[in-house]
Amino acid sequence: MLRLNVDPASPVPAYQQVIQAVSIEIISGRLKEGDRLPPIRELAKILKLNPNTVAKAYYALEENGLIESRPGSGNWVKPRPPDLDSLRRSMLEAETKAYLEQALSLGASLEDVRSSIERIARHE
Amino acid sequence: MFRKELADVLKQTACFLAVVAVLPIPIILFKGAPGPYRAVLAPLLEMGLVFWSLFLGASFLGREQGQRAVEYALSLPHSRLGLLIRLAGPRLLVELAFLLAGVIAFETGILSDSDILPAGPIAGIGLQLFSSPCPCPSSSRTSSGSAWSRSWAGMPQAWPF
Amino acid sequence: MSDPILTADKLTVRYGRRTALDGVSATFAAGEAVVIAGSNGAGKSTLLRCLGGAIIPDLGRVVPGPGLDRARIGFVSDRLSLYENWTLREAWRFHRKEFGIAAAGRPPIEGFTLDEGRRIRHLSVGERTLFHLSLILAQRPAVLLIDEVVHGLDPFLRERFLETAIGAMDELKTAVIMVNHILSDTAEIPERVLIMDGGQVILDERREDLMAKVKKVAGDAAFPPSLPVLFETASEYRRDRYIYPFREEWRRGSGAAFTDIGLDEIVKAFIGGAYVQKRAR
Repeated sequence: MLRLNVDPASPVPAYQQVIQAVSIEIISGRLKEGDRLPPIRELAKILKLNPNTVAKAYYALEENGLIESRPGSGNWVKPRPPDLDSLRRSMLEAETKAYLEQALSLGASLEDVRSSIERIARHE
Repeated sequence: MFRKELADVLKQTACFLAVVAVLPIPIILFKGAPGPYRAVLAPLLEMGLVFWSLFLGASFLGREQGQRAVEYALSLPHSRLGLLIRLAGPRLLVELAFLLAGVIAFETGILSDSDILPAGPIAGIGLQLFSSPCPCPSSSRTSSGSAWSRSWAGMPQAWPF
Repeated sequence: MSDPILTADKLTVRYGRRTALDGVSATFAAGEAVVIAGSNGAGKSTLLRCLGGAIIPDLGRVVPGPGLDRARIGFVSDRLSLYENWTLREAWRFHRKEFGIAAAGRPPIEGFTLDEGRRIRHLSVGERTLFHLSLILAQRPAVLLIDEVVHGLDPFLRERFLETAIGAMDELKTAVIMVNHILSDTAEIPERVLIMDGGQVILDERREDLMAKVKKVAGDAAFPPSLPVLFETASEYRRDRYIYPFREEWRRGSGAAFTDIGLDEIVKAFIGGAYVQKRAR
């Protein structure tokens, strides 16, 4: 089932949050090619969003080549596009950047951050 | 909507009349009141009609108490005048029926001077009491301090469409 | 903006000496979702009632969009007090006869059933509101005016209400104008926010723009005095300053730490600022 949540306090517009969330689902493989996305109305009801917002997000996802809209039957995940890996990479970099900003703002050095990551990763 | 209101008013009036018809019985039995049933009934009916007229008039207003209650009525596809007719009309009809009944009874001698005051004035008083709580459709818009009359103000002029 | 469906044109409503609406103008587009927030007594409900035709303004007028007739404007309240003794079945029959709707036309409320045999006066406020909404949706409204009912609903009914409204927005492209002073109630459905105070509209922005333009600086950290402060709270333990209108370039330049805040807090800051201005006058 979809792991989607929209944070109303975030300054990131809701439609962008939906795009990011769906992209993550696809990149991680939880949404596979040939899977059907929830209809706009249903996703809007689940997330308590304006249907226009969901429509906008689906449209953008289609533009990005991640999904395709089949008239009459809804939105489906496209067969794995060749640049999924680069998309994953760029999303990972965005996550890392946000994390680093937070971690460094604690006054830690880059070395501290690196060893902290390794320490935690070993225990995972 | 008119029919619904009329049915309501008739039902309530029938109940009222039934109560008034029954009331003299315990009075005669327990207070040992002199005179026939009719003599006890007459003043009760007289008083009752006045209060009932007032109640009918107020029931038109009372149901729509406060601003919020008006919204459903105003959302119905009738003009304000149409709504007023549908709400006040049935009550007016019953009032007029009382008046007519009183006049006929008086004229045909069923009631005479000694029995009861002329029914006419009674119903008349009732009508006047009835019309006073009724909000006056006026085209003055700046007058009132109440949201209730604000809703009815400017009645001749329709809302945008 | 797509076609205007309803326009308020310099609406003024006075109750004796008190001015409830002071020359308010606003245009609402077809299919738009708007929330009107503001202080108590700001005139939000009065504005909504003017839009719905329940109140006739002293000055100004409400202009319906092309082809909009009164039966397609739905006003949701939590009182259905016209015929409280009725059962739901009877109320639905009355409603559809008045509006000429086919018997099958009443949309069910998803995830929630009401026993048709119950009487309106026995329903809770939340159940009444939902029932009223279902009556209105049977009219296939082009505009839904919702007045402060959402925060009276329990969390479960609130979800049902919002989902039903969302369904109508998608199916009928209904414009939804909600008055609510607690914005989190309406989730992220509104795209546009109007804030009212003292009978006037003091803010009218798209949601995203508004969230980008108001930021908070907490604490006494380095605070460049030139920033425009909308509202400020200060106590022994806490000091918050709300900056409006905020510009992204200040994040780097000023050295202060700007926090993103939610719409509820933004509205609070505007209302607080308005109160301060009133005291200053």
